[in-house]
Amino acid sequence: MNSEAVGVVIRARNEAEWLGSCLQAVSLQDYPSVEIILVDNGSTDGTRDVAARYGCRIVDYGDQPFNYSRAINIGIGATDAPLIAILSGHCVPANEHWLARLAENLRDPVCVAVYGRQEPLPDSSPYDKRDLWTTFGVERRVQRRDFYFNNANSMIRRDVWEAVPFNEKIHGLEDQDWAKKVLRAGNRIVYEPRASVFHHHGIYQDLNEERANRHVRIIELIRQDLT
Amino acid sequence: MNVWIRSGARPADVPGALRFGEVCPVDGGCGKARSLCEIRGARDIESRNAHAAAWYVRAQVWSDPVVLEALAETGKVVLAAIGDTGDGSLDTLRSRIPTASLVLAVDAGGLDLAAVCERLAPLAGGHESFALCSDDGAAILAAAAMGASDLVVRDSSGFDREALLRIARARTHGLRSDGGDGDGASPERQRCLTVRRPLKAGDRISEADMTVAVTDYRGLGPAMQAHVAGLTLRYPVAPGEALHFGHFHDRFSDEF
Repeated sequence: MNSEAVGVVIRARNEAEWLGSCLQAVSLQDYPSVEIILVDNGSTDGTRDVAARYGCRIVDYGDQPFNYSRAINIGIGATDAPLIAILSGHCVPANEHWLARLAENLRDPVCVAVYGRQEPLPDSSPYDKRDLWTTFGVERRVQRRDFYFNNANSMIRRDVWEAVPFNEKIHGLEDQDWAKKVLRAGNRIVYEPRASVFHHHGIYQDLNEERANRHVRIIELIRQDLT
Repeated sequence: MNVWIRSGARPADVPGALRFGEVCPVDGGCGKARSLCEIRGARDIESRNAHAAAWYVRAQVWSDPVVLEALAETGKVVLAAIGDTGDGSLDTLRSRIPTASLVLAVDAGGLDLAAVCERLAPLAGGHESFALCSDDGAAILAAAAMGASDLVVRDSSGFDREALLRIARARTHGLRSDGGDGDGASPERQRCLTVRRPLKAGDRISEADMTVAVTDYRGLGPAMQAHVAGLTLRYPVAPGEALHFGHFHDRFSDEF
């Protein structure tokens, strides 16, 4: 396996509306070695047909109750690539340099993960526009303690994942839980704004209070031993 | 940055920094190249010199409109040595070769380093892609530092690959340091595809609708022009706005 090969893991459930644009952009990356793995959670809207058109490797999530961490772990386990990009099925990489711009940060041995910018589209809701614009700025950052990390547009090292897989005991925010653990080991995470994607639905799902409460509970747990 | 090799082995690409390819002088000069007389008027030019991904065209050659038309039809990168040509001839060149394929080149043959830089400087200040054709290591690094998009070299032994890689990465990253929680580097501007006229959602974009301008880091590069031509727009695009993949439905969407 090429030491810079990338496996792109996409979690999906009924993503047919955006998945084609997403895969079109991934398939046109100027990166030399890319495998796309779609982890499908029972889609019924043609998602699997779209993925098949772009030559994706389709992996079934299975019958267990859905868990974000488990879906990513299944996807990563299905590839041998040393670099793993994790992308939402309704995110569209902005241009052909997206993967290369993520990967170049991982040449630094202490950098174990990188996440990119997410931007709204013209018809994204005002809530999504506000949240994406205020969360994802234009300056690159090297994070040593800040555990913010977002798996809608990220890349991690496979060897680090093998030591620290995503936590299947939590439901959501698996990215920040994982980031906290790998930072505590002395690693760094980079925010790379040039690796940009367009995320139509945003990151906070409008005003879903139940989801917000669940996320608050998880963040409170992650913050418990923050020094 | 593209590095075009005239002969010998091609080094491995460095993703996001250096891409190596083979270039073919249009009027001969390397073992596998066809001569100018074979290019003239040929309609099956794509089948000729298939090993090369780019053409190198000396100034004396590209004044021939038949050659330019044939070159444009191949869709390959055209590195055109501009020499001391006046603006009128340059306009001819620009009108015959698609913007996305055209790279204006300085041939360093016989010039000292100062003269090379003197010729590169006005290109570095412009909005078009530019290249240096040279086998001098110092001139190659100078051109890279000045922002050349392409380099034409005799073979891979004529330059310091590691030094070139450092410059390519420095250009990609912009100003940054590795210390601190934030390094303040802002994304750079780059040459991107944009549109010549306002387009609305539902329009199918053509190659003729697109042009190249220096806009923002999110835009599609000129090499994407052929890939997005024919796609249907999800959103309207204004002239000068960088095109990105989010603007388009996917190529199979018409089937749904």
